[in-house]
This record gives sequence, C-alpha cells and structure tokens, in this order.
Amino acid sequence: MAGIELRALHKRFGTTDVVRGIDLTVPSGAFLTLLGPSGCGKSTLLRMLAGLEAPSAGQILFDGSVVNDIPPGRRDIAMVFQSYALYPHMTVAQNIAYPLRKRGVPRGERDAAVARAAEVLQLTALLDRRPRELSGGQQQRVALGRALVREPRIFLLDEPLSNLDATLRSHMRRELVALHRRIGRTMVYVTHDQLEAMTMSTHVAVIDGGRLQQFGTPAEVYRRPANRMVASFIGTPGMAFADGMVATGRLLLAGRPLALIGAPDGPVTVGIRAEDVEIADTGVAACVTDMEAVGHETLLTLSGEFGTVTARAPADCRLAPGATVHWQVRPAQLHLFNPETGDRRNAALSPITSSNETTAP
Amino acid sequence: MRPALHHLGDRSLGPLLIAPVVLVLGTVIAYPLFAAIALSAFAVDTPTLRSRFVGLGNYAELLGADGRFWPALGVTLVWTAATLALQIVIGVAMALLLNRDLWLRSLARSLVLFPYFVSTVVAVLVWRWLFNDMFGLANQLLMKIGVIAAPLDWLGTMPSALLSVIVVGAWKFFPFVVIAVLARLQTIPESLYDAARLDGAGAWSRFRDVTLPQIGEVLGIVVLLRAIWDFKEFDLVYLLTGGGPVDATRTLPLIVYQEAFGLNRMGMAAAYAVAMMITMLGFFLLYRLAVRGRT
Repeated sequence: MAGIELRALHKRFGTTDVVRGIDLTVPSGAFLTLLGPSGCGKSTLLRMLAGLEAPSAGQILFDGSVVNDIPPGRRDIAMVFQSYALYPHMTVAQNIAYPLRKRGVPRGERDAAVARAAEVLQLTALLDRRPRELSGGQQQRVALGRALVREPRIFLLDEPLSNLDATLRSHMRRELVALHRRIGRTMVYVTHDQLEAMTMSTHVAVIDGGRLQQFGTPAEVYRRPANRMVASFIGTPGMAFADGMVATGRLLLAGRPLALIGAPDGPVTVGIRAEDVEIADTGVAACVTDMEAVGHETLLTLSGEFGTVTARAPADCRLAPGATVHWQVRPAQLHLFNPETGDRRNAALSPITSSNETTAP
Repeated sequence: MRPALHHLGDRSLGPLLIAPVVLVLGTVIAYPLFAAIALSAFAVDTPTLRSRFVGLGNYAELLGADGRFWPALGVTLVWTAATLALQIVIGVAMALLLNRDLWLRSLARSLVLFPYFVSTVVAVLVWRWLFNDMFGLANQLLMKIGVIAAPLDWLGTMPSALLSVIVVGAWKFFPFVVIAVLARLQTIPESLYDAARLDGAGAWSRFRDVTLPQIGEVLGIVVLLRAIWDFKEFDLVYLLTGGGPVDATRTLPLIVYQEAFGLNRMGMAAAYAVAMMITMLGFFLLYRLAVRGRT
C-alpha cells in the first residue's frame, strides 16, 4: 500500500499546458477517482503517475519518496488501459503471467499466481484462449488479472469500463469496489463518468483545464461543490444557475426576494439542484417547457422569470408541456457562487417568513 | 423489362459469369505455363523455331552432362538467401527508425524509397562506378581508412563479386521491406508498448514480445514475395557481373537467357525455367509447412 503525493505537478506538450500545477495528497489504500471532462488532463496525470510521461515540473511521491526518475517497470504499479492493451498473440495465461516473467519469477510460482488471479476473476476456463476470442468484459478481466497478479502497491485504471455495455459496466463497477475492499491497495481511477466516480471512490479529484478544481469525498464534492465548474459537472441532471443579487440582507432573483442572507451586497450566481426543486401550490410560477421520462421519474424543465431550472417529478406525472406550475426551494439548499470567479460563496441562508416578509416564493 | 439473361437457369448462368475470369487466367497464366512445360520437351532452334521432340531429354542433360545446373542453383540460393536476409534486417531496422518521431521524418520516408524507384540500369551503372577498380569510390574510401592496402577488383574476383551483387541487391530492394513493415508498425497500438513498459519489459523485450509478433504476418508475406523475386532476379545480376568472373555469379535466370538467346536452344531454356519453377515450388511448400507449424 502506498500513499500518493503530487507537488506542483506540471505537464506541457509543446506550447500547450495540459496539467497546470496540481497539488494533491492521497492517503494509502484510497480509491481515488480523477474526474473531469474529455481533454482536462486527467489521463496525462495518470500517465505521469505511471511513468509513461515525464512531468515538465513538480514532483510525484509514493510513500514519501520521489519517483519522478524511476522508470515505469520499477515503480511497483500496475495499469489497466482503456483499450485493455492485451498482447494479441499470447494466451490469457501468458498475458497474465507476462509481468511476472519479465521480473524473473520462477515458472512454478508464476503458474500458481496466474491460477490464483484467474480464480478471483473467474478466468480459469479461458486461460488457453487468445484475446480476440474473448468478449469485451472478459478482456477487461484479463487486463485486471495482469495488473493483479504481481500485487503492485498502486493500481492505475484509465477509463477501464468505457468500452463495456451498461449492464456489464454496472456489474464491473461493483466488482472493482469489492476488489478494492478485498486487497486494500491504493487505486487511481480515471473517468469522465461521474456516476462511476460517485459510486466507487473514497476520494474524488475533479480536474478541469489542467487544474485541480476540488478534492474530497464524493459526498463533499456533490453537496459542497467548490466552484461552478464542479457544480455543473457533478450531478444528473446538471445544476441550474441563475443570476441573483444580494441587497440589504436579502437574496433577490429577478428582483424578487428569495431568502434572507448573511452576505454583503452585490451580484451572486445561484445554483439549484433538480432534487431540491419542489412542485408546490405556491412559489415561483413557471412554464413546463420540456419533459423527459427516464423510467423511474420524469424530469421537468421549468422556465419562468427566475430563468430555467430542472425539477424531478414522479414517473406518472400528469403534466404536459405548456402547463403552468409553481415551485419552491428551501434556502439552505441553494448554492451560491461568485459570478466573476465562479468560486463557491458560503453564506447563511434562511427562509423569509411571514413575520419578516410576505412575498417569499 | 425482362433481363436479357432471364431465360438462363442457374446452371448455365454460373459458368457464364465466371467465364471472363477463367478466360483471362487461362490466357495469362495457364497457357504460358503449359506452353513452357511443353516446350521443354522439344529441342527448338530459336531463330527458325524448328523443333524435334526429345521427351525428358532436356532434363536428363540439364541434371547430368550439362553440368551448369547444380553450381548455378547453388549460386542462386546463396544470392537469394543472403540478399533477402540483408534486405529484411536493413528494411526492418529502417522501418523501426522511420516509425519514430524523427526530425524531417517525412523527407526521410520519401528518400528511403529512392533505390526502389530508380531504374536497375541506372542503379547498376552507378554501382559499377563505385566498385570500379581504377577510380571507384569504394576502393578510395577503404584504402583511406586502411581496410585494404591496394585497389580491389570488386566485380572481377571472387568472393567480392558475389558479395557485391548481394549488397547491391539488398540496397535496391530493401525499401520494399521498409514500406510493408512501416505500414504495419503504424497500426500497432501505443498502449501495447506502454503496457509492456509497466510490465517491466526493456527495449529488446518490447521488440521481441510486442513488435515482432505484430509484424510477423507481414514479414512472412514479404519474405515469400521477395524470395520469389530475388530467385528470379535477372537484370541486376546480368548487368552487374554478367554472371562472371567466369561463372561464379551465374544464377539460373542467366542460364535461361543464355540458352534462349545466346545458344538459341529454346527447349533447353524452357527446361531450365521449369526446373526453377519446381525448385521454387519445393521451397514454397517447405515454407508453408514451417509457417503452419509455428502458428
């Protein structure tokens, strides 16, 4: 097991800065997910951890010692690639045994280790097959087997589930979590799929534009997004944003007071998650402009004077596009951001009650 | 509108549809082949085309009294094996080099094809100048760096004559290996090399365990094609040494030419050509067995 520490890590390709100074400390045994949109630098970061790319500046430490100059084969790490990268001319057994062979592990020990890994991953019946004779899910398991077999201190996984169908993906998600629990090694997982990040990780690092946007547990990242980018990237459907204003202790949206607020006067961006929007008899009037039935529920797009928000409604919701509804949100569930920098603003919010105001939504 | 061939049943339509292919293959492959085999059973005088049936007489002479077949076969096999080996080694090495991120890579990729494009006559003229015993560059350079003390008659003595032919052949034809191997190299996913590096494979291991198995199939085809072409190679050897000194670099195609147009014995030339074909067929079968045994 090993903890990972990144110090001002920087990577430049030509004139493009792909990773721009990332500092991060991951405890030993963590399941860290590097989450971000395509091209955000998360895969480059993983490749630097693997030693496949050299950092342009900064340091990578495993267990407190700098590994920048240690070649990939000697970092005691294993990596699962998005394309699996199985050796096509080798059998499953030979593929899994390869890292041991390259380390000079004797034949008998090698065979025993392959048998163990194959059993864990239910590959025993497939050991004599070649990769092209396997399904995507089986190839994925072989790639995992090749990583598992030499018991590395850190596992690196580069979008390993992206080529699988939805059912298999959710199955493999659970398998990976179980595997992590069983072997307790540090795992670093790269994905652009927030569902994978939320369900599997102990820690999430949200990356965008080569910079670390937020690092925390999945719950922290979801409940207290550090900025507007994280807020919009995490959560399905995405958080809705509206331009608000703080004036004399009140948060105003479209000129109407929404909540009491302990913050100085000025503009503010208000973020509202779909699950916090309640359809009610009173509140903000809005028109249903779109309805998306996703099976277990219906997502409503509501447009009104506060802008556009998304709300969740039961699957059997009887509304139709064009209908007028009212919605409410509890002030404590609002997210506030600086409209210029996009950074989170923390402020005490409380409802406007009849004793202090009469036009609360 | 009813199609014109509608009244034909499948039984008649099928043969009709493959007839063009059969006709073309028959004309350009089967007929010349059988004509050559038939011709080898006659003693034919080339200018007059007067012929006399001799049965297997030409073959009996070729294998026995003639005395040129076995030495020439030996020279042909040495030339083919050596030049092919050189072509493969240089070709694969060059392909690996050109597959890397080199400065001026596209220019280098174009330049490397030059020997393959240039006409054999022109190439041989240039090489004959290089090998010239009086004012050739090869002697100049080797003497300057002290490898030889006096000028060598490269193309006029053995074994340097055969060696020169082999080297020029390798120079002329290695670009074919480069093109084929480079095309395959570019399709090998980079992630395989990354995986191998993480698995602890060094540069040589990565070549042996990733590159070589991936280019194996292409190399198999390249070896087969180049072996056939080198075995039959005529103009390069003929122009460079004419088969000399005496008959030291005389390959089988040179004898075919000599028999047909020098000695005016078309039947004997055909017998040599058929013997070449049978030899190649034998090697081809061995090769197939070897390849099948490995996979």
